[in-house]
Amino acid sequence: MSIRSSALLSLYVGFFLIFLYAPTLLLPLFAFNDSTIVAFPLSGFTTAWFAGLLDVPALHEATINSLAVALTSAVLATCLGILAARATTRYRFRLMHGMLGLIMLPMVLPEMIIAVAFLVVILHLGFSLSLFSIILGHVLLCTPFSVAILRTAFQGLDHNYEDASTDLGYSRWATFRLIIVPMVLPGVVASLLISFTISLDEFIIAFFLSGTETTLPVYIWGQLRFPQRVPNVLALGTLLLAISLGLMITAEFFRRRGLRKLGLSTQESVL
Amino acid sequence: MQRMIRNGLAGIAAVIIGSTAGLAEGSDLVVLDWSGFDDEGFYQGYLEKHGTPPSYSFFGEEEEAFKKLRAGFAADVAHPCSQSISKWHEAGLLEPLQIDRIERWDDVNANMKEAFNFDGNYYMLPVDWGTTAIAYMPDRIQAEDVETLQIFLDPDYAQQISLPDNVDDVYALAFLATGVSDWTTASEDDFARASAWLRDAHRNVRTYWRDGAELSQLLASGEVSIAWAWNETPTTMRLDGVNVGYNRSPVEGSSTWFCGYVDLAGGPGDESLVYDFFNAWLEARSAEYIVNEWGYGHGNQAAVDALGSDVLDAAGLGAVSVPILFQSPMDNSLREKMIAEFELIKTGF
Amino acid sequence: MVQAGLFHMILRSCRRAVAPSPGLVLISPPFLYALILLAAPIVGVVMLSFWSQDFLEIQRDFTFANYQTAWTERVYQVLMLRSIKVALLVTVATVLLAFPMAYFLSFHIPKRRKQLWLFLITIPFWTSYLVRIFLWKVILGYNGVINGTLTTLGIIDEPLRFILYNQAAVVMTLSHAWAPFAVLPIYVALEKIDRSLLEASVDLGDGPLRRFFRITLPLAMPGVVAAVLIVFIPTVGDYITPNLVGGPNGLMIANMIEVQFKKANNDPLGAALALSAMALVGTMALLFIWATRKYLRSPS
Repeated sequence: MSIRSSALLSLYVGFFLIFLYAPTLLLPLFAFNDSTIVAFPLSGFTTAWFAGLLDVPALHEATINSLAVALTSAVLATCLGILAARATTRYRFRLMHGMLGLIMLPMVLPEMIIAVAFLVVILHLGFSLSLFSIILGHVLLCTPFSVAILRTAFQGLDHNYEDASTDLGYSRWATFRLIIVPMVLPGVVASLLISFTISLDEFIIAFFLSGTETTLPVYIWGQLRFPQRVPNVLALGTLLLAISLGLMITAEFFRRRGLRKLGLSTQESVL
Repeated sequence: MQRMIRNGLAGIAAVIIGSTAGLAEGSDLVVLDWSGFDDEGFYQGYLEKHGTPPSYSFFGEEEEAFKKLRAGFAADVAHPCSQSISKWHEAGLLEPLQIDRIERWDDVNANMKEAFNFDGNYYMLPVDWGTTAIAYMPDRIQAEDVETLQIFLDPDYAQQISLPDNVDDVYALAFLATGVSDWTTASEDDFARASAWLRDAHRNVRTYWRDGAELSQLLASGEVSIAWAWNETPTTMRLDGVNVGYNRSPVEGSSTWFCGYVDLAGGPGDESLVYDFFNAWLEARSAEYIVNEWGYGHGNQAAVDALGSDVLDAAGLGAVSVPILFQSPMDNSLREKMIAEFELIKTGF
Repeated sequence: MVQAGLFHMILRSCRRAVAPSPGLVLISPPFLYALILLAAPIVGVVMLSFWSQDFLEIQRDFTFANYQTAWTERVYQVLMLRSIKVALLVTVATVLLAFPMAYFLSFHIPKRRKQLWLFLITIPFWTSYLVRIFLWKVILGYNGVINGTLTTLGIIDEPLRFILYNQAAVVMTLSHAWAPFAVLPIYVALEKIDRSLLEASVDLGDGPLRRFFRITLPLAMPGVVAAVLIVFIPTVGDYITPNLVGGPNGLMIANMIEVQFKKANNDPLGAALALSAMALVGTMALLFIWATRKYLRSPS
């Protein structure tokens, strides 16, 4: 690629990132603004909204609940996604398209219908509503996204590699671990990220399927209705964003340091 | 192998349930409420007596709560508004209140409690209410312009108007604007006229507001200048130093809405907790708290009156001399028609 | 590690050749999960769509009336078409915006930093969607960031009103919301492209553009198709965004479905509308997959 088009692409990526971060860039601005009206001009500096977050146990619970739900849902949906993607890209069998169709169906079903129907099923089976019921719903919702991404990853893997590996006397498991896993790893990471993001942000199913424990989006939904609480929500958003970015940078830092200590080049990476 | 996967799933589930469960322990009171109503200022008496707040399960809107309860979700009390009670009652979700266990029953607003007297049994304990009237920004709108509800039809204010995305408040406006102040006696013609009025008003609407925070934002940012609004909005906006007008006395009148607690049939908790909760809500300090901090009215009429007309007028809750459309329960078939019609109007039909 | 363990078990049991097809064994867990959780709801929704409702009572007499209403009444036709139009615009915008980003990620970012970038792209979406919409309104609003900037620069005298509370605002907000979901699958597809193919194409004298259209794009197609489906399908069913930024003319079919299930006490019509929308969207998705099938085949 020529230098000019390369520069153009970098420029585009810069704009794209600004677009992605546009709303979130406003978060800190208004989280430190001492007015409940979220509009320009800014009125003054305060940290009161952050202080207000400290003694709200409901908020802390909701945050922990959400993280637990999102992590579990992401891992489970990705596991199911791997199975479905591998099965439908590597093998042919009867009813394959029908079965895949059913797995993908939650993507087409309006979330509210999943939520209402699910509510009836769960309560009729005699379960009470809890975080577990939310996870069941979220796994169902995230699996199609996971399958869509992972099928991309598994599609068109050259079977010759597998055959070569088996010819060399490797077991199927070793073949899978040594040949296939490295090739689909970007897909697995992408699937985990997407599922995590969907679950962390989902509140239609969470509203219907939550008992007395809430998740963060449900909590935020409630807070956003009251003008006095809006700045607290923005402070919370700022904090979560800062923590996410902080964790990411720290992890990267330690990963690199760890690699250097081992005397490995930083070129080697998980991905 | 599938069994192993299932065991795995169950294992993860067990960890999660185990780590976070605060699930219905027998002695607990489960309150199905609007998000945000777990504010401890409302039930100090309950906290003092029991030490812990009730367990709250939140809903975003009443219909969602209704679906959840009908599906079999177990809660002890819930907090619907006046227009839903008949529906909930017909669906068999409600138990009659034992009014002899409610200490301040006689102080409760008579209009509101009598609205849900079905065959001699009371079904709702009114706790919060508010008014719906014209909120406007005085820097952009003259006070004399909002002396009539017809301002909502004025093409000069096209795109500067916001109406509630709430069928009851919107039809209260339309009925008042077309000369009906008691919708329980509205005829087919009245309904048709109100709908036609609303259709005209729709052309001027910038957006339908869905909650107080959204409306404050719309008014303060200059997006709209006039809104059919709850009194809560001007009250909280003034606390933040924004100059906003609120006129409850346009010639055609304004409206009042109310919500309250119901005792759900077959709740898992102890009935005595239910009444401790009700009694805590009816205390004078709860009334004072909700009026001052939330800008809402309170079901304990005696306690509200004791706050004095200055406080009430400032909060948009005082007495006015124009017709008031009190949002009392109406015929279900008329309400169904209102709902269907409002959806068509919102879509531009 | 969990999935590795699962695969270990699964593959071993495959080797014992008890199961008729390894594919069938592999797909069983996700299939059974969906079947157990969805079978009853789906059957319920389908039956519901052929019944009717009188206030709270469901009447179980078979009728096509709901479908007739759903397909013939103007308001539902308009909403259905509008939803599809909005979803198509969102899809095109999102995928076009995402592709160069994914390309940059795959070809211009050194391997060791890719993971960091993936997180960088998804992290802004870990704040609540409602908060993001709230902030979009601050950006697009009457005295918002855009109007404020344009007024200060003297480009406009009066704040613009056409950038919020209409269908365009819905398209923009959703394109933003789905952006990372489109970048990821395209990136995954690009990552799989054998770099030696690209070198070979250069050796054969292809210019950068020709190489892109002959090699890169066709090989990236599975990712593009996945991105299109991931964005298009859920967008048709979205009702939060139209409610919040759509204004008076931005409502979509899902808003109507929601109303039928909730306020309007007409679950059967809601079910018929939902199933009709699903059928339409499902057909469009299948047609799209069929049209792009030559890019999706696995070499074997």
